[in-house]
Amino acid sequence: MSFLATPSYPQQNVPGGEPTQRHGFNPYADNGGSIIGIAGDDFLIMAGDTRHTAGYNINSRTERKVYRLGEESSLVLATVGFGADAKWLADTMKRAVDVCFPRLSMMKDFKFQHNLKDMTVSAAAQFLFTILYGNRFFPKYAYCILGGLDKNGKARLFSYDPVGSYSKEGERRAAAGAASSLIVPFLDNQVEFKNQYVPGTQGMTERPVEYLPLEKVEMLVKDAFTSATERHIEVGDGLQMVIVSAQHGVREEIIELKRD
Amino acid sequence: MSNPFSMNGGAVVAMVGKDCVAIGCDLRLGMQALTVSNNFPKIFSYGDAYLGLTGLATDVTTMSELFRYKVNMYRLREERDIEPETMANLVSSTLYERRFGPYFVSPVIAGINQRTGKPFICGFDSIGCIDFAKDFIVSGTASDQLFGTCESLWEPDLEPEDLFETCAQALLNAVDRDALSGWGAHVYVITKDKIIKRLLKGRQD
Repeated sequence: MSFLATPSYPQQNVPGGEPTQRHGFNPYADNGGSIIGIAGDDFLIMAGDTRHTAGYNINSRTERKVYRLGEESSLVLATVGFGADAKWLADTMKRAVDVCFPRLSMMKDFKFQHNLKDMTVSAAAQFLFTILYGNRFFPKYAYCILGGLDKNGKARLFSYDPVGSYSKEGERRAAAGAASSLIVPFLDNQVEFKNQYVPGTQGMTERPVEYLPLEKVEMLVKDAFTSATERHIEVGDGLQMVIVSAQHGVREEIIELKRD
Repeated sequence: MSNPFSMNGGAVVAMVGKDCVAIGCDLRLGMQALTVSNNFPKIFSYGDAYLGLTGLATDVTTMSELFRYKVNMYRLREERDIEPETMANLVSSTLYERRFGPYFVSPVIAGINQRTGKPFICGFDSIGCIDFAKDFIVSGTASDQLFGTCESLWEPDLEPEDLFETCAQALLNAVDRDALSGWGAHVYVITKDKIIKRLLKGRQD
């Protein structure tokens, strides 16, 4: 049985021999689209387009990217990147903070384990980090923006990379996805007033940053997406906006974007 | 190192307003991530036509001097300045001559036609295909960012001062999100009887 001792490897394209074939499987895809989140003082808007693409193909014109994490909760999660991973993250987050177990009705994961208290935004933010970093060596290929109101009714916003990096202080505005490079400089300028100076100060005094009113933020979100739709092929069809307000609760709105 | 268009960095933008045009560029010259100079303007004037060039810096310099020669020869033959539209065709045919070994530049032209009084802007790819735009043209390593800012800040029929502000804000905010562009900017606002050139400081990082 000496032939067993000699290892035999498949030969790589030996001249005159059979050509070998390499097999590959790519577990990721890029499904396009963009999301943004802007926080006001006591409200926030999370938005995303509703186009779902694969290369030059459009899989869906009505696929939402912004998820509410629970009926009573102010938590909202927006995800882009690989659609399947994005949805998995949203489902996992939903299950953690809200969804009932079928067998034990009314029993919610977090509430059950935490003395019937709702999960706070900062807790949800840290939890999302744990989920993402837990997949550090086979990452969920999705960029996340998480938003909600804290216990004082103030808006909080967090943005993540696929392996979980985020800032605990939160941010004023965030954008991710295919058209983020188009949207971010616009938001720098219009939300944080970058490169703007107080008139008459010879460019010495920067325009102070202030919280914007809801109507203004809604306008900026629409402008950002109509512009991105105009210049990016993976963005378009519809704009889903989830508006979380301390006074008026949560409202969802979908408006049309160009479908070309 | 593999893409000649992004080795040195840089950005140019041109916009149309009401009887006016604006063209702006950043001032950075780099070698990959290392900044070598913060005074490398990318806009060159040829009479009524203004030419912005981004891409490989050596080609930017070569092309700007080649067009200086060509436009001077044109002026001697015709005894008048070159019109922006003519300049566009000159740039296009010059680039296409090198169809299979191109200059690595993305030119932009802006100007007002002194005969008709009409504002004119256009852009090119590196082999001379002309993009006639009615609104704005962007080019360079910050072109994605510029598309975003221009598309959302620009509106039709801006007066010269408003056009300057729009162009400057679009450029400054775009280059601040591109590591290969920035370090100050030049913005020209061109009307039929006046040209204003402004030097903007911008972020120095």
